[in-house]
Amino acid sequence: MLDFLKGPVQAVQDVFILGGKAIGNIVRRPFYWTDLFIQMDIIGVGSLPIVILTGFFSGAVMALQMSNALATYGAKEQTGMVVSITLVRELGPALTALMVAGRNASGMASELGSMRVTEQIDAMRALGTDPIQKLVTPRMLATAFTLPLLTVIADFVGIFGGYLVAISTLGITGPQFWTTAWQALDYSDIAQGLVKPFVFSFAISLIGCYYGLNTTGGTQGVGRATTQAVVVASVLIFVLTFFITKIFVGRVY
Amino acid sequence: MAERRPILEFENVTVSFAGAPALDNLSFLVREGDSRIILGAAGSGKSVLMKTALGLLKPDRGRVKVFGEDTSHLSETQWFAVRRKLGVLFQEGGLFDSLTIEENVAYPLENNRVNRPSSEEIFERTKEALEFVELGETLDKVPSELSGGMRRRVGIARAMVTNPTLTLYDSPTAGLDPITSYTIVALIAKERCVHNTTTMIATHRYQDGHFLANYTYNDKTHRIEPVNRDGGDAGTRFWVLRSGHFAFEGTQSELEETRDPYVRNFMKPRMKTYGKQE
Repeated sequence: MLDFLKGPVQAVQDVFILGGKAIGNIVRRPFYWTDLFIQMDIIGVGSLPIVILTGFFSGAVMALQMSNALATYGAKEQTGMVVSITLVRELGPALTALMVAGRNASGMASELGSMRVTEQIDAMRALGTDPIQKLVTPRMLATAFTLPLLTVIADFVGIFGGYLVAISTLGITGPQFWTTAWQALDYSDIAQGLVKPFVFSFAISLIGCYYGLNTTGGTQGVGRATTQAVVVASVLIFVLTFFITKIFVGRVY
Repeated sequence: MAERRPILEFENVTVSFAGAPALDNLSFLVREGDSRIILGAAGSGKSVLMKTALGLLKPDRGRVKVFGEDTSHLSETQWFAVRRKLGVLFQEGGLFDSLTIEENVAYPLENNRVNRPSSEEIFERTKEALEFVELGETLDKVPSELSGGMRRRVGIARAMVTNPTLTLYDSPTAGLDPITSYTIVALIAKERCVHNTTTMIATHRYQDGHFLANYTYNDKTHRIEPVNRDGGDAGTRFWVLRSGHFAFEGTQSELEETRDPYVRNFMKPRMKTYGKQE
């Protein structure tokens, strides 16, 4: 009767096992430093333009939207505060993670999926290399290193976007904007804004690698794995952000 | 005469996918110097047999012994030590498309964690293996720059670069034209004779098996020559795999005389090629 649950439960279990092995490999030789740096370049540097663009416009649009609502209460000067809190706590981590999921979870799934269907993964194992150590661990670590950094950049660029809108169209002065933006932030906001991308990074990399390594059915299967990886990673980001926020909100208040 | 040492042994091995057996209670023994031709249609279990022998698939039941050692309890890391003595050519070649041909062929030597040769030795052996398959000039190319047949030859070079005791060829001629297929099988025959490697080849083409059973490489004349029947080629035996079990086991002449309708049907179009159709 519960057969329909077997597949998803098995998949969750397999992702955890994959994550356990990938983490275990961090302290096991050999360590593929070159692969780590290549992946950091692909994920970190490669995602920079898209993350900057998304961050900038989400900050700008946030300033436009919020200034209207705040004006109702005569608190338009507080736009900086709303923009910084929203970006640092929520939008920065979530939007950056979504961008990286769209760009890199799909990349990982399609790359590993292609390797799977062309027997390169089998060849790797047959030639004495653990594919998890060579392929999954560097991708997981590279995402864990770079996603928080990308988020910090997205946060700053977003606040800067809000600042440009504030001084150009809302009649708010620069010092006013930056003072409220700065004062609104608490250490817990910063912590929340960094814990989230760190957690998301594991979801993105492990989901991407899991679907890639389990690809079946030739080139069509690679396409399917790529789509599934992006969809599952994106949904997971929203689910995780809810729970992490719940933990932080519950702790602070 | 002393009995040759066992290289690969399957004892009642069953491998299933979603409950359907791909290998069904399969047992066999391959000894040093043997050649085994595994004939079978698509989906008969040839690749599964090869991957189970390499430890890439775990049997649901039964035991796989490699070099006389039971592999049932080996971890993936322990398997690496066993696989170092095995060479393999995958159906699609299995070349890493992001690496150059030189890096591909050198890969098993570079990744030998126990006894990694020096960089100079790795280069020499890589070059030698590529020259063996007559692709010495392709060191800096990437797999996508080569034709299907050339990629398969690079795969053979990578399989033999470690001087393996047992080499497994999974459908080495699949999807290739007859002339290229001949080149590939001739290289397999050459590799088998020059390095005295125990060889298992899975194929759907009877011609491949016929060639390997009847021709050998002469190291002195550097030519492929017919086997001297008096000297015997008793080590070459044919298996016909059907739905995960052997529909036939025996020599070439036994195969050609079999009355089994499935095996005969399987053979018919191939025998016609050689003018042996009744």
